[in-house]
Amino acid sequence: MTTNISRRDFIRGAGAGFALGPLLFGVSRARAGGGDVVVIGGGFGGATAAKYIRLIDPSIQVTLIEPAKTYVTCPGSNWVLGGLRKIDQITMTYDGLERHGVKVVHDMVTHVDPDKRSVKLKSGGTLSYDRLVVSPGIDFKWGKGYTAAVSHEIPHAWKAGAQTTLLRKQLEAMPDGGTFIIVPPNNPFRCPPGPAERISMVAHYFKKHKPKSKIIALDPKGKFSKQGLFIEGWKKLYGYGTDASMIDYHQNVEIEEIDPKTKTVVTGVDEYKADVLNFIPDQKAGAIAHATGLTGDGDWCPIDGRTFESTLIKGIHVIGDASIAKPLPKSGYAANSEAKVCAAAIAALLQDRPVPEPSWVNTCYSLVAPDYGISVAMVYEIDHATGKISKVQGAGGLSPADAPPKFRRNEALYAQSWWMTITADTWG
Amino acid sequence: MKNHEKWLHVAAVLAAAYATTACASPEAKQTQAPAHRSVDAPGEVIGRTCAGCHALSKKNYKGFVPVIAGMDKEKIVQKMRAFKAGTAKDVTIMDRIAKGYSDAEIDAVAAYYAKMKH
Ligand SMILES: Cc1cc2nc3c(=O)[nH]c(=O)nc-3n(C[C@H](O)[C@H](O)[C@H](O)COP(=O)(O)OP(=O)(O)OC[C@H]3O[C@@H](n4cnc5c(N)ncnc54)[C@H](O)[C@@H]3O)c2cc1C
Repeated sequence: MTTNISRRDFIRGAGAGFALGPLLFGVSRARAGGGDVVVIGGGFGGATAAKYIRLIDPSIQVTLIEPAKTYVTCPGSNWVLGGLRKIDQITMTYDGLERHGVKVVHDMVTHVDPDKRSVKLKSGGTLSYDRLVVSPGIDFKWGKGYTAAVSHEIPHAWKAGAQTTLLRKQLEAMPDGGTFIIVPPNNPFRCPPGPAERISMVAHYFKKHKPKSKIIALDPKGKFSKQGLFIEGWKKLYGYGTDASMIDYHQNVEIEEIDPKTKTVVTGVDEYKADVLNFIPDQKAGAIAHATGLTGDGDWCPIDGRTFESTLIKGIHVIGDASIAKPLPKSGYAANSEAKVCAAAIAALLQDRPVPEPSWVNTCYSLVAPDYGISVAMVYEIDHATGKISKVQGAGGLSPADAPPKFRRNEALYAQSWWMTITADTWG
Repeated sequence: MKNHEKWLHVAAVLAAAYATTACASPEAKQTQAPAHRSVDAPGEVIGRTCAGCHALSKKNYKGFVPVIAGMDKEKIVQKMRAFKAGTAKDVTIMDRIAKGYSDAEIDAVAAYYAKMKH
């Protein structure tokens, strides 16, 4: 019980700005079972890992560090743009995690010391860990005229919350007959079907309220996720491919720069002026991953798929968007699934037991309209020949093309059910 | 805060379990169990991946995806086999997912969910 008492005292100390880490460190090592896990980030990856470590082995002390008091889910944020949801309907709190015995500290990790196995908090405290889970999500590669300051006028809305609300307000304020331009990012980025779902939701809103308006996508890439299914839906619902098409999707576009003042996108061949501009920058792992050295020379964190332990730094596990978990996509479902594998691995490692055989699922639903859903799914395993995460042969894939309306309606219902269930599984 | 601290203490004393029967249910913490438990019971690792879509409790659930927690094991096995074989009716996604598992894995996952209370 000493572990608990010292931890509680310690947490108070951390809040008050004392650095009691080393003390806790000494005490917590004298344990039978148990152990201390610190989790950085209360998003899909971090929250799931914290909860499941407690569920799998309640003798492990779990502290989750997350600056924000609430978490607005990116999944469903396109539905807010389409007018299907209000932002508070996709906002989660951390009470559920506390009920599982996770200690939630609203603070920011500013430094990780892998040798001392400790993290420093912005408020001044230090926390020691036996195992650290890092799930900081993404950061942006600013450039081409698009900066953090510009994003307050021209939203990326690729982290949900104030950015989502800003974009929604701009769409609401736009007069009928206006032009919405979206610039999707280069690979790899969070939520591959996200830009096309956003286009669909904005098209749905325009069709209902501003039918003379246009959507132009300027995509640097040559193809996008679920492309065939999205285009089939756009043809059925938004006149895609006809003269009256609401959506104009350009591929292989060379984006030179944007002029934030005039909301103009300059490409290799043309200039496009927007009434509402949504620029989604290229992405990299969250800043703390870079500062800790978890990314090596790249943008993302290499990991061992069996445990999600960094291949660069021992004792640190990276999950979610920040990790290189290919062929798993950068999605909330994948982050949740990775977190469970990581939680089971950490529980095993702290007990000096063999790590269980992992298994993952990803399912990404997208709404093309409120009653028109499409999906992609996959089951993943470790390929023992290579030690790498791989798709299970013969499993998964896209939902069928030309499916009857009832099928699309069901997928739309399942999409919304998925949101309810995964958020309860992650934060509930 | 106070409650939370009390709970941390109580949790350690009880060393409460996430018993095979009560996956993610909040009631898990009231169950008495060993200080720490096996992390690799059959069906658990795969079973946890289903919980992204399949709610673990019917309580307050307003979604459209069937709750499989507490469902009869044979029923789950039969359903999964039909999904896998492509003979199930009105399927949208489980046919694609069921093809990812061996019969033994399906059996283990079905047993895991059948035992779960909700
Ligand atoms: C528009 C859009 C739609 C999407 N739709 C879907 C969907 O339908 N289905 C799906 O599966 N996925 C979807 N996604 C993707 C999904 O949101 C991400 O893949 C998921 O959030 C990744 O989880 P994560 O834990 O890696 O990061 P996040 O959820 O971003 O969480 C990271 C957390 O870490 C915190 N943090 C960062 N640095 C620190 C630090 N130094 N100290 C403490 N805390 C820190 C942040 O505050 C943040 O809360 C969508 C994404 C977008 C943008």
